[in-house]
Amino acid sequence: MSEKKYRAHQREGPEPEEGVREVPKLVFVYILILIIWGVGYYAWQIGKPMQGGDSRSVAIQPAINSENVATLIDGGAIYSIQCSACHQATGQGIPGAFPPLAGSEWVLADSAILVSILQDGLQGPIVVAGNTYNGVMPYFRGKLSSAEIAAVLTYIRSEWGNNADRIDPIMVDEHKTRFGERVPWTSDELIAEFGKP
Amino acid sequence: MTPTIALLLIITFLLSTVGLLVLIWSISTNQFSNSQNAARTIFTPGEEGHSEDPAREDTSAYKGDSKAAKEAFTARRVQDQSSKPAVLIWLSSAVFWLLIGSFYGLLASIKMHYPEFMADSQWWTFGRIRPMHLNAVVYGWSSMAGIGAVLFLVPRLFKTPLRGTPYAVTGAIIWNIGVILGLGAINFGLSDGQEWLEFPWQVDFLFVLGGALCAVPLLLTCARRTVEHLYVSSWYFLAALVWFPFLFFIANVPKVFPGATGATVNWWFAHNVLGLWVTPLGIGIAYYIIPKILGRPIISYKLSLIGFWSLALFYSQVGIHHLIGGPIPTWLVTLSIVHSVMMSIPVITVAINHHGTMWGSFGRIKESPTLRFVWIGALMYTATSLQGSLMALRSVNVITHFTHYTIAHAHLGMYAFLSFILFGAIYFIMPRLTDREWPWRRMISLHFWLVAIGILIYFVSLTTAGWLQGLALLDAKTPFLEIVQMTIPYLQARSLGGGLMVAGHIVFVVHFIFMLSRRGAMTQGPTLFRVRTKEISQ
Ligand code: HEM
Ligand code: HEM
Repeated sequence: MSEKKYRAHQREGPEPEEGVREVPKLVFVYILILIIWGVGYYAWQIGKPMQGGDSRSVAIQPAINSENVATLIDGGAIYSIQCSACHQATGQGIPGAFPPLAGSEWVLADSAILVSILQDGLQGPIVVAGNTYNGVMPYFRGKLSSAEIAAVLTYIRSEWGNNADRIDPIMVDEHKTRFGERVPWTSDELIAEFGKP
Repeated sequence: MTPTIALLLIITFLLSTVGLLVLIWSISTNQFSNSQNAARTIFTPGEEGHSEDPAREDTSAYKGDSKAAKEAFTARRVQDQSSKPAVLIWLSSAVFWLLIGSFYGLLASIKMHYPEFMADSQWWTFGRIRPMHLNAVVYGWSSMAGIGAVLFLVPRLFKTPLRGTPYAVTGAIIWNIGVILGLGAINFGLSDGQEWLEFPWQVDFLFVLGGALCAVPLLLTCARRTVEHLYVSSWYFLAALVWFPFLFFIANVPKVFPGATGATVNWWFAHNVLGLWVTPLGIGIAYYIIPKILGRPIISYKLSLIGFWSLALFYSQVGIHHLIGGPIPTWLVTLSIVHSVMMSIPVITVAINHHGTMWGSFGRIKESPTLRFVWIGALMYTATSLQGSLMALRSVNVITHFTHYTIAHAHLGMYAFLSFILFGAIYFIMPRLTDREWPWRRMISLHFWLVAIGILIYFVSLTTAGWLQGLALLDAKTPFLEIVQMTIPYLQARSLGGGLMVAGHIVFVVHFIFMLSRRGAMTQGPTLFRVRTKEISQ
């Protein structure tokens, strides 16, 4: 066998094997601590909801069955769940895509306009604070109750420097009886129906 | 969660954990006398006591002058020759997919801070190249390199030539066809749409077939083994090769698991690919290479037993920690969290074994490329896993989930742990298969520093970005766009780190091609980071 050949093999050490050192006591202590922790952690979950979710989940709205709880509804919470993805928590919208609510003439105008947009949705070009937006806003009819729609509208009319009257659930109900299940509004239709904001 | 469910969980937990300890205790007490005898048969006669530590100048390296030693040496050579065609094809394919995969990774990374980049063609959209990166590096690079290393080590571990090598060669060809078709399908937009399972199920059977063909030679060889005692690396290899086909098959059966069940199965699978497939391959290789190069046994057989069996018990239920906070039953999430934390038991025992064996020989990583890559990989295994146990806690996960923090952890595991060990293994294996030394010392050095600095930048920048991002996302008042903009400098840093890694891969691949085609410098001594006069292992 030549010295030059199989050099890599020749310089190899022995095949590996296991030594006989004992397991450090500390390892057993650690295992014991973890077992106790595990049992405790399972026990600690007793009484938590059965079905997943955590602080990031969408909050479940309390069932609303009478109009006089309207004032208890948190419009801000509804806003952050339903609206802030597009209009942003700051109410500034996203330039070119979603119009701002802060300082918007449509938000501050006749409350019937806002109720109409939320109840039936909005589509086509709309000019807000001098900029034109062209998108589709979904309707919330059937998704939010009259009281909730009133609460969230009241919220956006009083946040971010906006200062307009609160909106009453009665107005939403009146709108419902007048228009029923209407197709989404365009800005021209809104102006024709309720006047320029 | 009702008290009844909690009670059932607690009883199962206690029974399985205590049962496991009893199992380990009985194996170790029965086998102990055995293993001490076996220990001697494992040494090639005359090798015992020959340290190879160059730090101690006067020790003589093992020369193999006795007759028995010569026989053992010849046997080892025959074993390596027997697996050569199979190992070469698996490793070369792996190296090719590493290049392709990391190229797509870099592209995906650039698009995250420069979205206009190559945005006008559907072939290069983020939604397609990210899964292509993921699948190319997981099924192309990591799995193929891992199988290659296993095919090389198994004859050595069983001390008999590999039987049925052609099966493994055919397996590699089928597997490669699978990767090509799978990546092609994703590029055409025909993905299955679940992370880690993007390959269309029609392609998946190629992997089952290719993998099964690989298992044939391993089982044949195992049946003919000439050793009594199975060294710890072989436990991990055999287990991984048995686990993977089952996992892959169950998770890919089409249309059986809809909705939230589908998500549960999806993540059960995804974490098992990590825990029961690539991790055992990586740990098994480290268990072989570290003692091999140091020329001293791994410190404790009992610790290896605890490490192996507790991994087998705890890993398979951790997958649901990817869905914490999701619409999954609370008991299942809780189970996965407890098991994720229990995973620190195998991690710590393996760490004591690996790093304890290294203790006192850390100087060796200055010279040996293999040892430097493998030991750093083993260290990063400890780090990733302990980080993972923390990430599984609800209070931490609520911050880190949905952020770049997870991606940093993913690369700490798949790259700094697994890929480093695979690099080291390839540096060890190739000279023994091709019977020549690596051509250039500086290429290995360059490869090491590029990828090491690259992954450091990658990990640090994404960990920071992810944490800040997670805290900001929890605050409903911060606009989403502001958070996206905040992360951009960190994403640019990631592209820088990733660029260095890709550069390192190019250096590595070029070196590999020179090695394979027998071109480049012909050196006489082993190619080490520093020139030494004395012969020591790679
Ligand atoms: C060469 C440099 C690399 C770069 C620039 C890179 C970049 C990326 C990028 C941009 C993503 C997508 C992250 C996201 O969607 O937020 C990703 C994901 C991933 N990469 Fe890499 N990567 C590289 C190398 C590797 C290697 C070598 C491996 C494994 C061996 C790897 C494993 C993964 C995995 C497993 C994921 C999925 C992570 C997840 O789902 O959370 N990467 N990588
Ligand atoms: C004890 C061991 C480990 C535990 C408990 C653990 C835990 C976790 C957790 C909690 C996540 C984040 C899930 C999320 O919020 O989305 C995660 C993600 C991940 N881990 Fe680990 N980890 C461990 C070890 C490892 C190792 C060794 C590797 C690599 C071989 C690894 C690779 C990954 C990858 C690739 C992901 C991203 C998966 C994805 O989103 O696609 N982990 N791990």
